[in-house]
Amino acid sequence: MIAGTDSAAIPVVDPEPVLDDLVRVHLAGLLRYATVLTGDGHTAADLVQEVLLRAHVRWTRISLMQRPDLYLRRMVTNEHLSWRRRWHVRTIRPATDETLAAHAESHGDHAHGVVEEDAMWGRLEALPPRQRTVLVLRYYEGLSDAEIAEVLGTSPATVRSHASRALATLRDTDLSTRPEQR
Amino acid sequence: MSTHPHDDELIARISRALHSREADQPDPAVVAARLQTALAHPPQATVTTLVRRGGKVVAAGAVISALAVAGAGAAAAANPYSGVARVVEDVAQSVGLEWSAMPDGYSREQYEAFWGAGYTVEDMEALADLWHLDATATKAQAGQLLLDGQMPPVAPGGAAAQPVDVDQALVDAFWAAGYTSEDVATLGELWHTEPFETKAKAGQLLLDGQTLPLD
Repeated sequence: MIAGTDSAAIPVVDPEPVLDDLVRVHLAGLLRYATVLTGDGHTAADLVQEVLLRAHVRWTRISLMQRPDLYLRRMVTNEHLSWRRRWHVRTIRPATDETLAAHAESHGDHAHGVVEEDAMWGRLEALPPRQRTVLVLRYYEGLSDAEIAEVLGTSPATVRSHASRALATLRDTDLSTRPEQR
Repeated sequence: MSTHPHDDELIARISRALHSREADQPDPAVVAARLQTALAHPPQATVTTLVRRGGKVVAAGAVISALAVAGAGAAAAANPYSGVARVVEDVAQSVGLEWSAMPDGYSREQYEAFWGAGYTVEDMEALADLWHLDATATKAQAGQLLLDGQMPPVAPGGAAAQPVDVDQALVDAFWAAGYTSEDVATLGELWHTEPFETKAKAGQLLLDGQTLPLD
């Protein structure tokens, strides 16, 4: 794809209906996905804003795809992985929720549930990013492995491999960090 | 789908942990307003330096846009606003007819004349080197020559395509050796690297005459 051809082929699009379409149909879902993917609402807002601005330019083509929703998730995922690569060396990580949870005492069912969720979130954050992304797409977005493969630009077999490794890691860390549960 | 006896409970807890983060979701109305603002008032300050990057992203296409962003190099990482500024530049060039993001001295007519003649990013860079102009001024000058019925000193498509940067050359070396996405995933797991970094590292090893740690 050449820039000249690409630019010349872009028709004059009225930006307002395109933006309306993106916002009405896709914005809320993408924000939810990005929030769970990144674990941070502010990052999610920036991520989705950048992706939708880019999608806005190409919307004529994207909207003709069979699954524009999956394509937008692919854009969000790629952007997330790209941002993460750029930022991770500068990010100072505080003590993980898992560490804190291991020292926390139980304060009843609700508090215990929150601690559990935070501890699990900490373990999810520690996974390699593509493994975690697969879990988010599978267990939060409810996508099939074939759909996840489309989002990640890989094969369903690789998706299953990522999921399997992630679950194995979580299973192991679960046992090693929750001795009181045995 | 799960094969381990305790996976159902584990998956239920994973699902609860993921859903517990929903509460942090930003208000869609706020983000929608930000989008409208970004489209209506693109920033002007960094337009000139980002045109090339915008061009590269367009040239690389939608599917590998993340790679193109990574290939844009350290400058992108150093400037937290560059991503947004680049995107806004894309929007301005592709959609906005009279938007203020069009820099002074570069008109929509010149833009259309330049790209409409079949020029590529490589041509633009060749002209920029020839004229010692930045990307915007180059496109403006070439576009104006075309509007005046003259031909710029580089014909459309006349400049050979160059690798985007060193990293991209390494990635190209990786693919050229016949490796697959599966190999990228395997190596990524082994090295704990992201896909682009994996391909660049593998490409460097191949260029150095070494073999990759694959079965």
